[in-house]
Amino acid sequence: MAVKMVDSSTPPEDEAGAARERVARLRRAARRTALALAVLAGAFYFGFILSMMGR
Amino acid sequence: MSTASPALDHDHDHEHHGPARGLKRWLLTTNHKDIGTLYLLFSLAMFFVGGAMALVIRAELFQPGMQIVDPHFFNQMTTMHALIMVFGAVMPAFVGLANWLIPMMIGAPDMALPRMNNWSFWILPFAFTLLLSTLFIPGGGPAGGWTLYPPLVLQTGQAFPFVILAIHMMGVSSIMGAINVIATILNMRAPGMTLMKMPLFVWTWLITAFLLIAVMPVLAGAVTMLLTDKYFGTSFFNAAGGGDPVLFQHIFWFFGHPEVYIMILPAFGIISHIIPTFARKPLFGYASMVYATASIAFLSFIVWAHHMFTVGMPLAGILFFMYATMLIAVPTGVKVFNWVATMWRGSMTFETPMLFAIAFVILFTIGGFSGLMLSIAPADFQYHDTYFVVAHFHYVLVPGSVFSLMAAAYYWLPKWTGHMYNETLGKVHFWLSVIGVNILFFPQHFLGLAGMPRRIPDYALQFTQFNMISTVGAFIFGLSQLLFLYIVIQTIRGGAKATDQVWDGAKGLEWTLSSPPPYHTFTTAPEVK
Repeated sequence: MAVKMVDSSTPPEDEAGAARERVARLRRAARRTALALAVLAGAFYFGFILSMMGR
Repeated sequence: MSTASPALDHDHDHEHHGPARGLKRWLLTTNHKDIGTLYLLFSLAMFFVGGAMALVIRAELFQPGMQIVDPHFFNQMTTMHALIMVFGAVMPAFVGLANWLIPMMIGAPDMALPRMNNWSFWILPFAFTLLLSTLFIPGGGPAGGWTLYPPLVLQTGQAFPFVILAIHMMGVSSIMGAINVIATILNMRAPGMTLMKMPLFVWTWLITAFLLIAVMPVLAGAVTMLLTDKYFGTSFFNAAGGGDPVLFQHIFWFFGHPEVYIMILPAFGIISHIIPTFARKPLFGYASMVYATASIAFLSFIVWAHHMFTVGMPLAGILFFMYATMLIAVPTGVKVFNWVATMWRGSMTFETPMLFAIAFVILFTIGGFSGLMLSIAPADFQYHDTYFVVAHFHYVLVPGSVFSLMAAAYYWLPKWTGHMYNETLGKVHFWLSVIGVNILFFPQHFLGLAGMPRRIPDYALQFTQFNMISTVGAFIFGLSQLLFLYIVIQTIRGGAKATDQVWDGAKGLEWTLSSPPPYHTFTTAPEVK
């Protein structure tokens, strides 16, 4: 793995904007991942208790 | 693994801003470095609170008879010590490291969900205030052991609902933290940072986070059922109402055994960074390390009943859990082999992080071997509920998890603070810790084999000498941690300037940043090839 040096100390406005847009896009995707995981955790919790009630 | 060229500081970016001032900075922060620091400081505080309780336990056990505390308070100490060390010290410390390091290691600007990150942390102080407050409630705090087995735990007085709520809060915090870690790793990696290029700390945390999401809801469900059994007339675990107390044990250990791996897998990741750095060689068998971690995580779900061989299970069940448990030795052996192979013919130097890492490999392996002994069901009938078990899991958790945390602190503290720690004091701390921890826990193997039961404030005369030795070790180990606190404070306040690279052999994106790194990093993603 090698890292290409990126000089972002004074990024041009369009580059900074593109970076912001990229992060915003990644965060939107991350929120979907998080929501799916939260639903999974909730399902484990309630599903588990309900399954025990059915014993 | 990587050849990273030095990146430039990102703190001159016009959109960047520094931290807010004063208390507001820490209360409202969404910055992964700030939240990582909060987690680490909180866990350090809890480490000392839980450690003080351990010293109460060991002081009482210095000689037979009752000297210092009454038996009920002793039981509260054993219970609270465990709850605080597991949920308040070790787990938050790893989450703190995850917060500090994962975004820097994968080239992300921050965690994926920064506001939730703030919530994940700030739930914890309230949860532990609630838990600790139970010690001052009439009837005292929980005293039935951290395993909360009914019907014993249902005898807890007014503290019971507080304890249950505190555990729920810890669980919510852990689950939110785990969701954030997974969302960050899966979505926020820099271009070119494929999964199989990720640093091992990131890999081990990804797998740990899935473990957390799978088992914390189970613990939450179990303690909810305890609550409804006590206050709402249900009979999940009440034999008189058609329930089964052994069911709780199955549920608890379905959570409890993966929990052990939640506390050790990130430690494996840390050690997999430190050993290559100070051996000046790439990690031996990167891919096999990833697969071994995943294998251990999978196996951790199918071995829970080895904690309860003595409850009376069908023979087929006992055999299954015995062999499945033994199987864990295979991927764990792969890891130990790889660490040793990495050191083999390396240009090794022995700075404090490396000393802690080597001690980890040796002493964790001792804990692993005693675990293998315990996995042998016929032998476990002899060892069960004795000090042998106490010695076993403390070898896994103290020179295992805690030493890895110490190693991590010494390894990354110069990066975080921009100052080198005092190497001489670090080595003194290491030697006091490693000597203290062995004096503390090694004699407990013999106490257990001789039949001394765990969780008792008094014992038969023949156990006196080893208990005295163990208590002396406890105070050496405990007091030597004050030196660690001093070193950390001294390093934060000043010291020799750390270079960006810090360690000659260190590889990875975090070392391309300045020491200390700017408040915002990787707002423009690095390109990983």
